[in-house]
Formats: sequence, structure tokens, C-alpha cells
Amino acid sequence: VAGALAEQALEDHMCRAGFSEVERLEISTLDVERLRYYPLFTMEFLDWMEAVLDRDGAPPIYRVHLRGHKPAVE
Amino acid sequence: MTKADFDVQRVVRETYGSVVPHDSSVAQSLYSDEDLHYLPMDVRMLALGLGNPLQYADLQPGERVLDLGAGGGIDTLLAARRVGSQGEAIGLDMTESMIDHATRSAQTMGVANVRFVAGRMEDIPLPDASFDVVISNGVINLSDEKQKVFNEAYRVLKPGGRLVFADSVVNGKLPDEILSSEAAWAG
Repeated sequence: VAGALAEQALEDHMCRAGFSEVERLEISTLDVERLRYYPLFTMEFLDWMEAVLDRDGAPPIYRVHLRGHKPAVE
Repeated sequence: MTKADFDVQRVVRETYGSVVPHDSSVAQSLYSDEDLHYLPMDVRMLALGLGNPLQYADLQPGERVLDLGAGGGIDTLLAARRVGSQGEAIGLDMTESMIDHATRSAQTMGVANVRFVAGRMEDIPLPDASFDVVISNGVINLSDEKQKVFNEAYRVLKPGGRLVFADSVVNGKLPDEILSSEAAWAG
């Protein structure tokens, strides 16, 4: 999650690459409880991260689906 | 996001290369019962994505699909099913053990129109304008060179092609302790 960008920054990257018709399809909160499903993290790490996020009043992390098109004629 | 002061790709490769799956709860939370029934348990247990880009990809028979950061291959295998025998799905991943897992699963399932390729999504080892659709599921956030990822996705798409992906976003700054954590970059 440390590499997550702001949604607008992701869309800006897409537009700079040349994509058009960039659209957000779905967005939902991605909380630490959901991350506990993943075998990528230890429970100790997730407990620590949750405490840091809560303590610092960190912005929420979201899960987003985005779509963009390569123009038919460049 | 700030640039990490360690090798993000090394951390990601090590983390994903040593994953020990324990259940299929990620897959169960993201995919339909029909898709889950199609997939063997080892593929379901290696589902590590954040969403379900195939829901929005509108894949058509005969299309060629590239899955960036294919991991255990769940989205690539489902894409191969949707595009049918006249289409093809290719999964790209930089972690050898994931490529091995996914390739074995495809062989076990008898899926002929899928293959898995080793490589980095910042430098895709595939030709220009060769795919109708590029998908990715919870992987682009793992790159510290995101513009390169989008440039490469654009390069390999045919004119009129589409990129559909799921990823994490944060509209603000995460605490420095998180940003400097190798583990937090790895998932």
C-alpha cells in the first residue's frame, strides 16, 4: 500500500501515456481488516500498520477500478 | 508517494516469491461462483489481487489479453476462458516461482490459449500493438516507476485497445513510517 498514488495521479499518468476516455468504474474503502486475507503480511505487521494509520489520522486507502483506451487513430 | 530508499522490486520479488497461501478467501471475495468452480484450488489460493478487472474488461472471443503482474495466474486463466480458443491470454510476472505455479496450473487445466512470460511491467518484453486488452489487478501500486508501466501498457496495446485495472489509491500522504517500510511496499 505504500506505493499507492492518489486517484488523480494515477489518471494523470494514464493521460500522459496517451490513454483517452479514462474513467473510474468503482471505488471502495480498503481497510486493514481486508488486508488480513492476504498471505503477504504478518499479523504483527498489520497490527503495527493499523496502529500507525490510526495514530497519525492517515487518509483512507481505497480500492479503485480504472479503464482507459488507446485511441483508434493516434 | 515518495521514492523508497530501497530496491522496491527486490522487496516485491522476495515477498511474492515466498508466499505461502493458506486459504482462498481473497478469491472468494472477488470472483463469481462460476469462475471459482472453473479454477483449481491452488489457483484460487494464490489469488492476491485487489479487485476484478475482468468484470469491466468486456472481453470478446478472439481477443488477445495481457495481464500485468499475473502472479498465480487467476485473472490470466479466466481471461483465456473468456476469449476462447481463437484468442490468447498472456500473463507477465517478474517472480519465477509465480510463473512456474501459473504455468503448471494451465497445463493441469489443459488450457492451450494461455502462457506466462517472465518480465517487468516497466519494460514489457513483448511487441508493440499486439494486444486488444491489458489488465492488471493490484500490481501497479507495487512499482516505483508507474509512468513507465502506463507507457508500456500503451505501447503494447493495439489502437483502440483498452487498459482495465484494479489498484489501491490514497488521496493524501501516508505516514513516513509506512512509506519507509519494506513490508508496506510489498503488498
